Amino acid sequence: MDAAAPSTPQPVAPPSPVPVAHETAAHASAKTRIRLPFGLIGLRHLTCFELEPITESWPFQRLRALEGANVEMVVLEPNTFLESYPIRIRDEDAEDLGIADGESALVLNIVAFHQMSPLFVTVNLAGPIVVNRVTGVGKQVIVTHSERYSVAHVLMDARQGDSGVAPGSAEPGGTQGA
Amino acid sequence: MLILSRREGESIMIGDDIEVVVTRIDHDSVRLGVNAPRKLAVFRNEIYRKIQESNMASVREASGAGPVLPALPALALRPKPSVLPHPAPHSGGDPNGR
Repeated sequence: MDAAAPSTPQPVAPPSPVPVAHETAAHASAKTRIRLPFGLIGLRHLTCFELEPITESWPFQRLRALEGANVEMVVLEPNTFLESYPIRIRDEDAEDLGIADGESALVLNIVAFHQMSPLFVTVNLAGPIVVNRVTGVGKQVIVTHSERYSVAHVLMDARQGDSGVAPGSAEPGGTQGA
Repeated sequence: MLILSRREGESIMIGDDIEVVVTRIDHDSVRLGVNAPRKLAVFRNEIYRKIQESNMASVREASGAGPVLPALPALALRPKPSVLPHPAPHSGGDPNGR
């Protein structure tokens, strides 16, 4: 899904860092509709969502299910916590979503709060939600080089005593995203 | 479970449009090729299960107005913008994203 590498079967796509979109003033807590026609993996019934930044807990955002189910997930855009996150997705996924390059994609990584005290939080880098910024349609994909990325990348781990905040590059290797 | 013996280069059909080909046999590993309609996603079982489990662990009851989340300014590499980003119909045109 990278316009810069169209000839390779699995082009390197840097959908992240994603550009900060749009400059509509006064929409500091703007909600965005996101539709995932195939639902989430293992939760196929969840297809309609609203994405809303959690202003008091930036950079966390809330992805709330809209259709009856009173559930939500917390997500992060990768460029808010990773220096670099070059991912590749299947050509079929990119085509289905109508995503031609990294900039047309909104990438969301799902956060898991395993424990609140002491804090232990991981984030899924292997199975991000990729959304077409224009249509609002997205899909949870498994990156094609999933062995490089963890399903449970440690974001914060206060169980060992230190602050545990672990930002920085996801994993070595790969090309620098965008 | 249906169990079939196949040699290298042979395949099986699942329904009318899913073909699984044994492309190579190598000691203790087998390479499979899958021809399936594109709407069917094919993944290694382990990674699929892991992501499924991760999703189940991440979904929680909607918290409404009172999120029990830590505020973690130290985490954000990208400074909190005065106007929060969202997937708007038009991208901002920043060539490098950040």
